[in-house]
Amino acid sequence: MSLVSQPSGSKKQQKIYQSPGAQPLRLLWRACLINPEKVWEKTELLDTLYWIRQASGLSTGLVWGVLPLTGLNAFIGFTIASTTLILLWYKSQRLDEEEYGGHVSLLAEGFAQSLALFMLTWIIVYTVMHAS
Amino acid sequence: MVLSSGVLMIAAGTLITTLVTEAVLYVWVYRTQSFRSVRDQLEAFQQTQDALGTAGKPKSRGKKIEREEDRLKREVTREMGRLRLKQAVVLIGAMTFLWRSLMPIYAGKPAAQLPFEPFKLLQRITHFGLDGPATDCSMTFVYTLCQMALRPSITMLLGLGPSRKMQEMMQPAALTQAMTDKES
Repeated sequence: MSLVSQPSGSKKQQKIYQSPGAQPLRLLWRACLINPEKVWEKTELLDTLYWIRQASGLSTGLVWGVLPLTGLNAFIGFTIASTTLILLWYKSQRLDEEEYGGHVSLLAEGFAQSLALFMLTWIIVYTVMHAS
Repeated sequence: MVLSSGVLMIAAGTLITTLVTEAVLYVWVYRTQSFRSVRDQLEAFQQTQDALGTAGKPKSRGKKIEREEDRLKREVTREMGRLRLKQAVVLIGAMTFLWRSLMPIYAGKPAAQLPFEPFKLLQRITHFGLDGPATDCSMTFVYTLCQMALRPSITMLLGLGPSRKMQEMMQPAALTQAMTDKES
C-alpha cells in the first residue's frame, strides 16, 4: 500500500521531478533578494548555498588570477571570503540552522567543489595571463 | 604546446566527457520507469511529511507512515545500488578514455603554471611525470581538478540524476538510523 495516491484512469500521469539545483541563476537571483520572511525548503536552501559557493569560487579564482595573488595567502583569502559570504547570507535570512542540519552542514555544502573550482580558475587565469 | 590552450583543452575534454556520461546514464538509468517512480514517490512522501510536520521526528509518526518509509528506503537502496554500479562502469570508461587521449600529448610537458609552490605530498600529483620547477603543473592535476570542479556542477545543472533526498537516504548515517528506528 502506498500513501502516494496514483491518479485513476488507464494512463498513469508521471509526476515530473523538478530539481531546484538545475536552475542556478534563478536560485542566485532569489538569494540576492534578502527576505527574512521567506521560508526555505531544505533542498532549495542547500542548492542555493551550493551555487553561492561555486559563484564565489569562480569569481575569487578570476580575481586572484588577474591580480595575480599567489601562494598560501590566496588560499587563506579564498577560504575567509567564501565562508564569510555564506555565513553572512544565511544569517541575513534569519534561518534556524538546527532545522537545516546545523552550522557545519550549511557551511560545508559545496565547499570541496568550490575549492576545486577556485583552484582550477585561478590556475587557468594565471597561466593564460602571467605564465611565459 | 602553448600552456593556455593546453589547460583549456583539458577542461573542454572533461566537459564533453561529463555530458556524454550523463547522456549515457540518462538513457540507461535515469529514464527507466523504476528509477523515476522511486524518485517521484520519495519526493511526494517527503512533501507529505513536511505538510504534516513529521519530517525528522520518528516518534510522532504512525505505523502506516513508518511502513511506507521503510518500503521507500528499500526501493531507494535497490535503485541506488543499480545506479552506482552503472555509474561506475560509465565513469571509469569515460575517464580512462580521456586520460589515455591526453597522456600522449602531455607526456613530460607541463599543462599549466601553478601560482603557488605545492607541499611535497601534493607535488606527487602536481608534478607527476615532470622534471622542471615545482610550479610546473602536470596534466594529471589539471585533469583531477576538472573532474572535481566541473562534474558535480554539470550533473546538478542537468538535473537528471538521483534527487538530494535519495542521496541522503544512502548515507551511512541515514541507513544506521533507519535500522535503529526499526529495532526500537
